Parts: sequence; structure tokens; C-alpha cells
Amino acid sequence: MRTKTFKQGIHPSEEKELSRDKKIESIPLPSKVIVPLSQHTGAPCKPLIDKKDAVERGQKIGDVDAFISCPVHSPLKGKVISIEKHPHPTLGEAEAIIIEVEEDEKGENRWSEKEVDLSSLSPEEIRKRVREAGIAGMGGAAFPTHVKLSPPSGKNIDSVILNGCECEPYLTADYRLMMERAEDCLFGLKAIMRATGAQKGYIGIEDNKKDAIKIMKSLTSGENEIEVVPLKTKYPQGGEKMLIKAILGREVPSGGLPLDVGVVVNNVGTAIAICEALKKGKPLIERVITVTGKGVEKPSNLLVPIGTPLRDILNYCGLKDNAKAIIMGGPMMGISQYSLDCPVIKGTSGILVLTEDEVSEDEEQPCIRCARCVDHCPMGLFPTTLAKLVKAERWEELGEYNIMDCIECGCCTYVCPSKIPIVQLIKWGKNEFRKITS
Amino acid sequence: MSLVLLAITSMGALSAFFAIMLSVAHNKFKVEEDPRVERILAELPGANCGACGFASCRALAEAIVKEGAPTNACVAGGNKVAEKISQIMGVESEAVERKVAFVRCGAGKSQKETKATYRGVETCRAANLVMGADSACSYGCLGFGDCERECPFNAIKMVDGLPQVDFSRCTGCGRCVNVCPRNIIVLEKFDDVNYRVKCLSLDKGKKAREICQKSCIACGRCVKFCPYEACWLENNLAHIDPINCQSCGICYSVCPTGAIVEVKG
Repeated sequence: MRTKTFKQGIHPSEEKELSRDKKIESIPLPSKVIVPLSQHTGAPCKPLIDKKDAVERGQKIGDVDAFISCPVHSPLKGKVISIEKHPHPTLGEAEAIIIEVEEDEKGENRWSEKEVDLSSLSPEEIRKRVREAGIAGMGGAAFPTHVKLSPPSGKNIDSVILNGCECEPYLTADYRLMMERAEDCLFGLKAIMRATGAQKGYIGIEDNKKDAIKIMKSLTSGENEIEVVPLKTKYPQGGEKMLIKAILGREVPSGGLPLDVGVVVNNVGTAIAICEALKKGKPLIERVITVTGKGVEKPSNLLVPIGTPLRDILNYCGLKDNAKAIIMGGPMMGISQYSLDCPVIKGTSGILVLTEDEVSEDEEQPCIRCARCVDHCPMGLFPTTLAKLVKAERWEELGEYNIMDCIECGCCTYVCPSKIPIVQLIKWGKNEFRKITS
Repeated sequence: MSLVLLAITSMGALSAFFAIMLSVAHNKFKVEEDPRVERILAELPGANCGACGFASCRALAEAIVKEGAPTNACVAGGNKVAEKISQIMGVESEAVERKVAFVRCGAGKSQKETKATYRGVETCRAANLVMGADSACSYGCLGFGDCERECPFNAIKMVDGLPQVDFSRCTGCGRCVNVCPRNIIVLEKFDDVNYRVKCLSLDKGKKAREICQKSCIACGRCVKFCPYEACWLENNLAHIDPINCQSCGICYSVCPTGAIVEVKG
């Protein structure tokens, strides 16, 4: 099978066999859930409820009147204990609604599935329902989905790409979703196509997920407008820009968005959430995550309510004694956590537990100018030069080397033989560059 | 012999030609510069710290002479420099308000808890982007010493992971203020004896106490004991109003954690 791909990138060890054949399962109800008011990129929500209020499962508990934002819902039935600052997986600390969970008789029956004819729904209606369901990109960046589905006037969207690459090592949540809920996935893709007015839909899947490719192909065999595209297994194949380059051969301009080349990219998890929102009216209150790594007794793919603390999940899966680092997300772009009180949020794709001998403690050495980072940077940047400019605090010059095009995929740091934390330096540089240019 | 003569005459002729060209060019393209610029420049500290709002000391000197910038604009130089510049410019000297950098965190590495092990770029600004590195307090000093490296006057020394400002060296240029990602350094005007809250934590008392020995826990003793109503609590943090404060020091003596400090200006 000839597979498409992009230039450069890396081939880290996949490590997916730990959890790839584990069916998605539910976990026992947590005793409390923590719902951060800021789970997405954009303006944080304002709480709609007060301390001591009773909340129903799926009730909207936070919203804000800003375009780039989306509401949050109560993942379970219960009572609000407090609204306070709480550890947050990406922000460190943020305002969160803490809910004491109560027994819920209605459970999943609260929502009944109705057949929906997409052609009867206007794009405006789909966007509205997606926003009300609080759907944000579930691949990791958590960009509010309704914003992606609202192309500004003058921009014509011709293609929608569904991202089933899951190029991060270890993670298998998207793979399981494609295996177990392929039909919902496809419905979600069609809904996105309807909302954006795109004529063509693509499902990009890396060729290490042959079963998923097969299932998707058999499902779409009769449909001309949807194509399943097998892609080479390579990191970061699931990056938006890489995916567009590989499938359509188009290049997103520097500083631009996929919209600028007529494309919208969404994660498969997001498509399933859209399907649930349209068919059942169910908001985004739970998601599938992969709990994996050599530090976990029982690697699994779990359906967990959003807001479930790490502690409950790791209690269920079992933490080994030699566990050393807990990372939310994959090993390449995930963020190390400092507290087990951190909740799962909309953008959490997995929890990875590394053991003592997997965590590198090597000292940083001087750059030897081997240019491995340059050879592997999928954006074609000069990470070594950027890192040096940042170390010298020469912020003005970073623009000449297009620092803002960096997607922070981490390939440079992965291949660096001197163990220089290049991505962190570039992140810092981006922050300072933003300050001087704004 | 003739060869030597030829060399001497030709080189002599060339040098005479260039000498004439240079002196003509010198007179024709002469840039008139006010001699006061050079004199002012000689008085300025020469650190190019930027506290005056101009890019360099020369830029300030030119601005004073040509655009009438205030003669007391150099914060780093203080009153002495202001007086000399005023003499050069022949105007009345105005006093410079002397401010110094004050660090609003009082907990060194040994006095506060860590929440994790941090391995990465060892600067405050980079560490602050990854959830504040290992510091359990999300308001206080990160301790990597960006301010120490930034200070052009060697006025900051890191002691136990906390910047100590040498007031005799600090000129109040504000470079450390700009570079601190947690905004814990402020420029303040100090009298002989002052009392200040050396903490910025908005955490509730219980949590603040758990993670830091020096934190303000908002117990309210300073508010209760202050005879001049200069202290108040806001968002779990004590504040002292420098105008109402009579520097009696009662708040300092009743503070249970040592978050209120005595500062000698």
C-alpha cells in the first residue's frame, strides 16, 4: 500500500501494544469531580451556579458571552461544594467548580438516541448545537469546535479532514474509538461537512492501524465524497499542517490557518462528540482516554467523566512502585503533572506513567551543531539557531527565523544528542517575541 | 638611487593629495554638535539601563540638549548627576525621586515547599511558562535569578534562592521589575524606617501556611493592632498604606509569620 506523508519528522518507538487491544470500559463513579472553568483555548467561562446548588448530569454550569469560548457542563449529578482555584493540567492552577457526586438513577437514559437527517439541519443550527454542547477539539489543543465550523465570509471550505492519525506514541484512545464507534465517527464527519459546506471529506489514519483503516474503508465504500487515506506512521503526522500537506498537498501559509487553504481539520473524538450532540443532545461531559505506560499495572482505554481526578483513574488502573512521572497527553507533547488532584479535561487524550529508568536525567551539553534538529523539524525551521537566539535573549531577531511557525511538536528535543531543551527555549522565545511585537 | 627618490616623491605626493582631500571633506561635511552633549554624557552613569525612557545614555544626553528633556531624567544617576546636568544646561536643578527595587517575597528556598522536581531551562521566565517550575506557591519568587543577571549595577544578589537588593547600589532603573515573570519586584520610595508586607500570596491562610513559612496568612493581627488604621486585608493578603503608616512597627512585632518586614531606606 502506497502511503502519503510529509517531509522530515521522526520515528519514535510506538509502544501502542500496551493498550491497543483493550476495549473501552467505564470506571466506577468518582466521589467528586473538578470542572475547570477554562478547559479550552479562549475566554474562560463564568460560573452559572452557586456554592451548595444541586446540579443535574449534563446541566450547563459555566458559560461566557465570547465567540472564542464554549460552555462547560456538569459531568455527573451532585452538589457544588465550592468554586475555587484548583490544580489544572495545562495552566498549573485555575478556577474550577468542585462537585460532590451523588447517585444518579437516570444515568445514561437521560438521553435517547434519535435518528437525525443532516440535510434537514441548517449549518447555523449545527454550529449552535455544537456550541451549546460545549465541544472543544479533543486532540489536545481544545480549540472551540463551533469556531472552526464557522468559516469567515470570503473563505471557501472545500475539504474536511478527520484526524485519526494518533501519531503520539503510547496513545490508543482514537484507535479504539474508530474500531468501536466508526459509524458515529462518520456521522460526525458528515455533520462537519454540512456545517462548513465542504464537498469532500477525508479520514487520515496512520498505517499502523490497519484494522481501523479496514473498518473505515468498508463503511465508506459506497460514498464518493468521503475517502479514507492511509498515511505513513511518522511523528507528527497528526499535526494539522502535516496532515493537510500529506493528504491534499497544500501548504498552510506562515501565520495562517487551515481555513486559508480551504480545509478544516477535526479529531475523530470531536466527530463522535458532535454526533452525540446532534443525535442525543448530549453535551461533552465524558471522553475516552488511554491510561498507559510501564508504570501502570493495567493499561486501559477508559470512558471517564470530565473532571475525574487523576487519583481515581490511577487507583482503578493501579500505579506501580517504580512510577516516576505522570504525563497528561502523549510523551512528545504531553505535560508533566505535579498533583494527583488534577482533573481530566476536554483536551486530555491520555495519562502516561513513566518509570524511573525511562525518565532521562542527563545533563544538558553544549550544542555541537550537528543539525539533527534542522533535519527533523517538520516545519522546516532552524531549531538550533532559535534556541541560541533565545539563550542570548535576542528577541527581535526571532521573527527573522519564523519562531511563531513552530508547532512545539518536540522532534528537535527528541533527536538532540546534547539533550538541550530546545522546545522549552522556543516556547519561552515565542512568549517574549509576542510581548515585543504586540 | 633614482628608485628611492621616485618612491619618496610619489608617496609624498599621494599623502599630500589625501591630506588636502581630508581637510576639505572635514570642513565641508562637518557636523555641528553641541559640546554640551559630550559634557552631559561624561556625567551620566553610562550603564544604558533605559530607566529614563531613552535607548541609551547618549540618546538621553541629546534629548536633554536638543528636545529639552528634563535634566533630572536619569534615575540611576540620582541627585548628583541631575545637579551637574542642570549646571551644564544652566537651569534650576530639580530633585530626583529616589526609588529602589523592593522584592515582595520573603521566602528563600529553605523556607518554602516544592511541588515537583523541575528539570529544564533554568531561568524564571522559561520556568514560569511550565506551571511555575517546582515552586508550590504560585505567587512567590521562582529563584532562578533573572533579576540578578539583568541588573546593570550589580545591586542584586541571590541568597538562598531569593534576590537581596543592595539599596546603596540600586538606582531604581527598573530592569529587574520588567524581567520578573511573577511581578514580585516593585519600585518604592523609602524613608528611614518603613514597614512593608513582603508577600504577594492570595492563597487562603491554611494553604499558604502549609507551603511557606514566610507567607502572609491573613490572620488580621496587623489590622487589629495598628493604631493608625493603616493596615487592611484584601483577598487573603495584608496591605499597609504608606501614607497613613507612622512607622511605629507594631504590625511588624505582632506578625506571626514574619511576612511584615522592616525596611531601612
